[in-house]
Amino acid sequence: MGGVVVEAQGVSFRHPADWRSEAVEGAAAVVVLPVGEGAFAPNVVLTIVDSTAPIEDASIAALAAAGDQHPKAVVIACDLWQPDTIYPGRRITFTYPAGDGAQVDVAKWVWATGRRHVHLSASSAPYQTPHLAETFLWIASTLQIAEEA
Amino acid sequence: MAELDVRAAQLGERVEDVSWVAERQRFGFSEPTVRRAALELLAAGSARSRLSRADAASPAADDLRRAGLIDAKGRFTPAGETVVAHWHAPTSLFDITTSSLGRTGRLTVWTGPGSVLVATTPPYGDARFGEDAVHIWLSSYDRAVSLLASWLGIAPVWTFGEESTVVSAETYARRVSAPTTAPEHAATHLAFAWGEPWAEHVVVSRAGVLTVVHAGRAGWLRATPGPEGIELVPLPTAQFFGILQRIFLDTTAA
Repeated sequence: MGGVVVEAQGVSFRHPADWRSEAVEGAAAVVVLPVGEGAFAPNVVLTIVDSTAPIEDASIAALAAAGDQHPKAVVIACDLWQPDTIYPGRRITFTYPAGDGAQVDVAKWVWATGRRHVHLSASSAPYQTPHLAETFLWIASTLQIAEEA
Repeated sequence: MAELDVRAAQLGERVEDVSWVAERQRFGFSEPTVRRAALELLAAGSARSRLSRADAASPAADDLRRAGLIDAKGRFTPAGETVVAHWHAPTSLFDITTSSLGRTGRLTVWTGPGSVLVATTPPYGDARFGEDAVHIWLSSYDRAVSLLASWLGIAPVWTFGEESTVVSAETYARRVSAPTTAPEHAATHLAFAWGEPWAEHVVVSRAGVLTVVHAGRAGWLRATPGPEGIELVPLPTAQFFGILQRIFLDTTAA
């Protein structure tokens, strides 16, 4: 499959070898693509929260959070993600203004295991998004959740 | 417990209702506005950075004064100069026209040095603002496509079905103008979409012409002319947004 494996709290995913891991408070894992000074650094953030709510609720919460956390965000899409797997998920696409004329595009994957909600957020600047879309899809496709006992 | 999507449930799909998101992010058309004729006066005076005496005395010139684009004597303010700078040598142009049940809307984006100039009418017309009212403002390159998405009303909507259907150009044109009965050969999703309110959007850029239909609860359709007629295919919103992003990047690349 290639790439470098990141594992946290029973959730793992792979990322390209030239991305680097960073420690960020509140996140289970963060990987960043190094870029030149002043440019937006594309990143993927894994967060995990305890919740018994089903995927429909996890999705609604993520859709609401996009607007609550980012004023003037435009939520573009909510799509089924791997609906025939053990943990069917959602892919939520949104974009938000980030100050001083900047904009950030986000592809956020959401899963519900019956015990936890797992979020994988991939962020990029609009001029980067078309070039990174396939990479983000690949990263999300490698995510594995250790089966809940 | 999340509310479930009723139509999806009828199709045997269990998914959450996402229709509330669109209302939450409705495009905010606001003052100040100018009449489109006022913009034409501004363009006409750009070579001298002032309106002619006759134009400066016209009612449309008052719009420009209220918007801070010219002074009392018709001379361009710095804001007015910034606006016309986007017309001198535009690197790209997006022009979207919308028609829905006889009402029209228009959005135009010019890219200039380091910024974009946006001129919009209300998306589907709005009698409160007058039929030719245009709101103009400057924004950044990075925000241009999100502005398009917001004005178009792109928001989450479930799309079930990928089949395309070809209808005659006449059948399509009649449906754009007013509700009609769905063609017998319409794929399942299109048959549902046919009965929803339609708004046609024609996106013109240096990349060509992209025609889409917003069909209410059925989401979006891409309308592509061909030798047999108009091919209508469901267009998921994430895919639509990606298309707009690529068009913008391709047409503004140095």
